[in-house]
Formats: sequence, C-alpha cells, structure tokens
Amino acid sequence: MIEPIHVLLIREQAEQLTGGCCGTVGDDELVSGGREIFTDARRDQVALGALHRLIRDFFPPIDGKEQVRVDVVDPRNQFYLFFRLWREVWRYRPGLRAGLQTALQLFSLPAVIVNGQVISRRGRPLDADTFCQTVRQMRRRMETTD
Amino acid sequence: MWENAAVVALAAFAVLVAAYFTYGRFIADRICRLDPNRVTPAHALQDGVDYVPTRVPILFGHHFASIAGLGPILGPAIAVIWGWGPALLWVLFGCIFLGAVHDLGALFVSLRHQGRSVGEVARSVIGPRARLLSLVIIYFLMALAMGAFCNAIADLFVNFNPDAIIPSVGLMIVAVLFGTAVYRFRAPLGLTTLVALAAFAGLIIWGVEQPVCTYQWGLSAETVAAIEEGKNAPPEAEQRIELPYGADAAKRYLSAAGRNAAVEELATAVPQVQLRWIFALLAYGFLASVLPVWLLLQPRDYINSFQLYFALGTMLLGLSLAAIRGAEAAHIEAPWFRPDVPGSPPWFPFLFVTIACGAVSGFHSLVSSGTTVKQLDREPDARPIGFGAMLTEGALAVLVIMACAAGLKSQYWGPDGLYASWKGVGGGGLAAQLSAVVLGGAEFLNHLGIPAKIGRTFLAVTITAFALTTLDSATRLLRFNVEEICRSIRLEKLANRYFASAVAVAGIAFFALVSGKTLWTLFGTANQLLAGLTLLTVSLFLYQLGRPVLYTLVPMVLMLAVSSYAMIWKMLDLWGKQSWTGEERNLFLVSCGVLVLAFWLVAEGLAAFARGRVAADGLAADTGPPDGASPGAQRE
Repeated sequence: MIEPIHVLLIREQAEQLTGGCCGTVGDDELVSGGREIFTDARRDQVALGALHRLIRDFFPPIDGKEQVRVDVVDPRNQFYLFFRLWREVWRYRPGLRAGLQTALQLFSLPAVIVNGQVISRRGRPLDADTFCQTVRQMRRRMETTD
Repeated sequence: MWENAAVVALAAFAVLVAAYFTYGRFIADRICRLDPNRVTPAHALQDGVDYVPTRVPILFGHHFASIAGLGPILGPAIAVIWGWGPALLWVLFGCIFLGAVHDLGALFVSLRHQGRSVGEVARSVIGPRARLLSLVIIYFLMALAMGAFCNAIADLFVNFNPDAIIPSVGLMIVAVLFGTAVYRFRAPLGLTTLVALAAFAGLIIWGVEQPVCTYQWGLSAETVAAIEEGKNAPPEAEQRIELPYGADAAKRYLSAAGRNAAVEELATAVPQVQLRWIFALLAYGFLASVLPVWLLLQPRDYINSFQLYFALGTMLLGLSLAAIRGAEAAHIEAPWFRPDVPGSPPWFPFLFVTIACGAVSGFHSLVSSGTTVKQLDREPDARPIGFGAMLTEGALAVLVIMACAAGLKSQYWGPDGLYASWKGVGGGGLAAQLSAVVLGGAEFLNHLGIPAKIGRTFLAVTITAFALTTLDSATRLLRFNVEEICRSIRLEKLANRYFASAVAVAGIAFFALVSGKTLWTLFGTANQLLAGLTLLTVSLFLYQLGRPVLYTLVPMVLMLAVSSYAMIWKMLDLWGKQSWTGEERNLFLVSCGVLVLAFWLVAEGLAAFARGRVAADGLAADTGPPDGASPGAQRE
C-alpha cells in the first residue's frame, strides 16, 4: 500500500502572533464586524486556500484512503513547526541542500513542502499544474519503489 | 520537600494531568457528549482558508499561542502576596472546574452552531440584548487592558526599568526597517530575521549599559548631582543606587541619605514624567493603529514571538536547573498563607479576581469560537484543545507562582522587601507587579549563564514589546467594536471610523489616567463577567438539550458572586471615605458600570431560564442534526 503524499502548507495567520488573551480576538466577527486588520497575510491565506481546495479536488480519497495528506501550519506554532520540519527532513531525506532548505522554512513564509521538499516559497508562487505534476511524479516514484 | 519549588511544580502538574483524564473526560463524554461521527464545521464548510480540518498537535499549538499572554503571568505575581498556597490552589481549582470547563463549553456551543462566535450564539440562546451585552463587556475589557498597559509601561520606564527604554524604542525602528525590507523590497526573510534579532540583542546590551533616566530631566542640578553620586558609589558602599537606576531606587537612596528636599523634588517630578510617557504612548497607539500593518505591527509582532518563546523556554529550563542543582532559587521563600498583608484588601475575594486568566478567562471564549472551532477535525478533539490548553495555561501560572515564591531571593519577602506590604506589589501598581516577575525570571535565566542584568532587561523589554504590540491591534479592534455597538443601538450615523477611533482612544486614555493601582482588579472582574456570559450561554444550551447544567451553572454563579462581592467591597470602601479624589470618583463610576453589567447578565440569565426549554429564534435550524441522532452526512 502506498503511503499518502504529505503536503505541508506554511502560511501566515491573519491575526496577531503574540496577542495572548488581549490581542488575538480579531478573528471573532462579533469584535471585528468581519473586517480585516492583517490584509497582506489574509491575501496569502486566501491564495493557499485555493491550493488547498485544488488538492482536495484533484486527489480525492480512493476507497476511503487519502492520496494526499495536507497540514496547514502557521508561525504562531513555532515550536511544532520547528520539530515538524526536521522530522520531514529525517523521514524523507531529500539530500543535504534540499534538506537544509526545508529545515529553514521556519523563516520563509508562505511555503509549500511536499514529502520533505520545498516546492514553493516566498516570492515564488506555485501554479496548480506544477503542483499536480510534482505530486503525480512523487506518487509514481513511490509506486515504482513499492 | 514542599519547600522545593520544583517538587511543588511537579505535583501541581500531576494534578492537572489527572484532571484532564478524569474530569475532562467526564465533561466531554457525559455532559457535552462529543460525537466522533458528527460533521464539524471544519468539514461541513471546508474552504482551505478559515475552515480547515487540522490535527490535534497542530491546532493545540495554534490555540495555546492565542490564549497564553500576560494574564497568567501578572495575576499570580500579585496574588502570591497572600501566600503561595492559596494562589496555587485557586489556579488548580479554578483552572480545572471553571476555566477548562468554560473553554471546552465555548468550543462545544460554537461547534453545534456551525462555528459561530459565542456572542452570536448568545443572541440565539439568550436573546438579542445578549449580543449588545457582549460588545459592551468587550469594550470595557479591551479599554481597561490597554489603559493598564499604557500606565504600566510608563511606570516601568520611569520607576523600575529605564534600561528597557532604548531596546523598546529601538525595536520600533528595527521593526519598521524589517517591515520595509521584507514586505516592500522582498529581502529574504531568514537573513533579515537574523539581522533583526542580532540588532535587538545589541539594543538590549546598549540599554543595560545606558539606562535612560527620564525622571532626571527637569530636576535641579543639585538633585541630579545627588542621584549621580548614588549611581557612581562603589559597590561596597552601604547606600547606592543599583542598576538599572529606576526612580524608585533613586528615591530610596535619597531618603536613606537624608536628602529630603531632593526626595520631594523627585516625588513631584515622577508623576509628571509618567504622564508625559502615557501621552506619548497614547499618541503612539493612535499612530500605529493608522499606519499600514506591514510597516510596524506585523514585523514587531513577528520579532516579539521569538522573544516570547525564548523567554518562556529559558525560564522553564532555568527553574529545572535550579531544582536539580538544589540552588537557592528553587527554595520557596514565600509564606504558605498570609491573610494579614499590611494595607491589602481582604484575601477573599480579591485573590480570586486577581488571578483571572490563569484560572478562568472570558477572552478564551473569543479565541475558541473565533479561529479554533473552524479548524476542529473531530468533535472529541475539543477536549485536548479546549480543556487541555487551559490546563497548560494553568501550568504556566504555576510556574509564575514558583518564580515569585522561590525565584525572588529572600530579601524580597523580608520586612523591607517588595512583598512585605501591599504598597510594594499590590498597591504599587502594575509596574511593581511586572517588576517582581522580571526580577524572579532573571534569577532563573541566571542559572543558564545569562547575566542577571541582561536577563532583567530582556524580560522587561519582552513584556513592554508585547504590551505595545497589543496596544496597536487593540486600538484598531476597539474602533471596530465601538462601530458595532453604535449599530446595535441603531446609531448608524456614529458608526464611522473618526467617531469610533476617538471613543476608542478616549476609553484607553480614561483608564490609563484613572489609576494603575486598581486597574488589574477591574480587568479581572470584567474578564470574569465575559466568562460568566459564556457559561450562561453554555448552560442554557445544555438545558435546552436536556443535559445536566450543574457543571457549568455552579462555576458561573460562583464566579459572578465572587467578582461582584469584590466590586461591592471596593465601592463600599470608597463610599466610607470623607472626601474623594478625582481618581477615586472615576474609579467608583467605573466600578458602578461593571456592576451594572453583572446585574444585567444575571437578569438576562434568569429571564432565559424562565422561558424554559423552548429554543430561541432559529436555534433548531442552526444546530445541525438533532442531538444523539446519527448525522446524515458523513465526514469527508
């Protein structure tokens, strides 16, 4: 059985990172009336949201088993993200250069990481075709090895 | 054994873990009946942007980062003055039976109302006035918190930490340069982050070497000379002004040296300098709220996140090391219980409103029903996220209690120490309380080889930077909040940005200028009122479902009774005075306002229960599949 492809979407959250119990109330519609404060971050969120929907449409579960597993993480969760990135590198061993690039994605947002490899990062937006092609190639490679 | 902070902390953590697996499971399975087969809003409305099914370890991190802040640090640092025992017991009891139930309850009602916020659910369950009540409580809360922050920063800069001025102001410049480089010139984020953090470290060292004593500006040449003499006195001198040369230390030195004229001059100058700082901070808040977010707020928030995690991580590591080495810092110096603190209000009920966020916080319901609920993958995940994250925040409060009870050396608990009387830490204002946290924390950092003076400045700047970043975003949010209140009471013409901004800044200014000494108690009470409103909503919803309401209603009644009692005690204390200062009059009026909100809340609750189990407008339609029934749609 082939393991699902792991996609990690690292995006900025459209709210304060360090607000604690006084700042991070902006997402509550009651308080904000639905208006955005962090418009740039929101744009990034919406763009990655489109990619997220595309993954669901193009790679639906087959016989109840998912082909692609997606995790969305934002830098509020630095502790988790740090260990997760190193774990991705350890698990998929994409090579020294690619591994280092992945491990340092903590600092470069937004980013798309597929099976431990950075395929899109800040300033280099990802188009749907490239993404689907990358995922298909990876699946094919996994099928061959399997 | 119980005099060792690490042993006590470990025992407290064990209690919290046990509560998670027992009471947490009971509330989740028997009361809320979280159903693994029910479709959550994250799946039903999945859009990849707001509604994203997220695994527990990831969502826990997001949720915890959103609820943990200054609250669980400040409250316990003050309340430990009545002894570490009651503070610790209240954190454990409050956290398990009130706070965690509240957070899980907020998640639960929001889950069953398609991810709508608790305020909106309250409108459905209680009635239309509940939404207005929520908005007014939130206005009070945010204006109070921001006023308290302005007041505390000004106090900290003048009286306790002039060493934090250069790094705090410098951080604004670093943030603007960082924002411009990253968001406009597309500079690489990794490299820019490293440069910004290095610049920030440099600023801290500069601040330590050159504290900016703004209280000296405008003093006579003789007084300045006397203060400089105290600063330059040799380390072995009996009387000297210690680093970081705060006005508080200068005043003590001058008093001991018998220079009464200088003491009087300083006592007159300090409030004036603080007032100037408050106005400068208000102007900054207004400016920052109109500047583009990417230029100042976002980059500073980003840099601040590294500071915050570093501070929490190193404090925890320092405490552990101190315990392993059996150092003095792990030995508890504070008394177990001290009900008769000179000059303090009675420990009951004030301990319970002083430790607000560490035990129960209404703000958490806004986070739970805002972002978190939209990302919950399965209903049972609400237990680790809602219940578990609150218990983790309780663990943070336990650490702070131990930092103050053990991290501060014995002289802080001695006859002339900070915790000797209410004047030192409770009546001394927020800055004195923050200073206690800074000093205790610096002791822990010292165990990792970080010099005490660097650790102290670093912690002071971390707190200041956090407060300033929050001031930026809260001023904006408060403006939105005022606009919503105007719409709710059908004054649409006033719901414009200029009027709303003016009311927002005026609210913050009012609280900043009222008094820094009692703001925290007021903030705690208002925060618990919001938690009361959430628990009332949860109770009513459970009542409508025919489930036991005791587990949410008793905490609500308990909390409202204690916070109202504290408020009434304070008002009676003021009432008994012969004449009032302007500050006391304002304080009385604010207390009246908060008390009216509490009674309003109780009246709404009684009216809603009197209506019985009939669902309010459209409730049945909103809640999705009927309770207990198998949902037609399966999870994707």
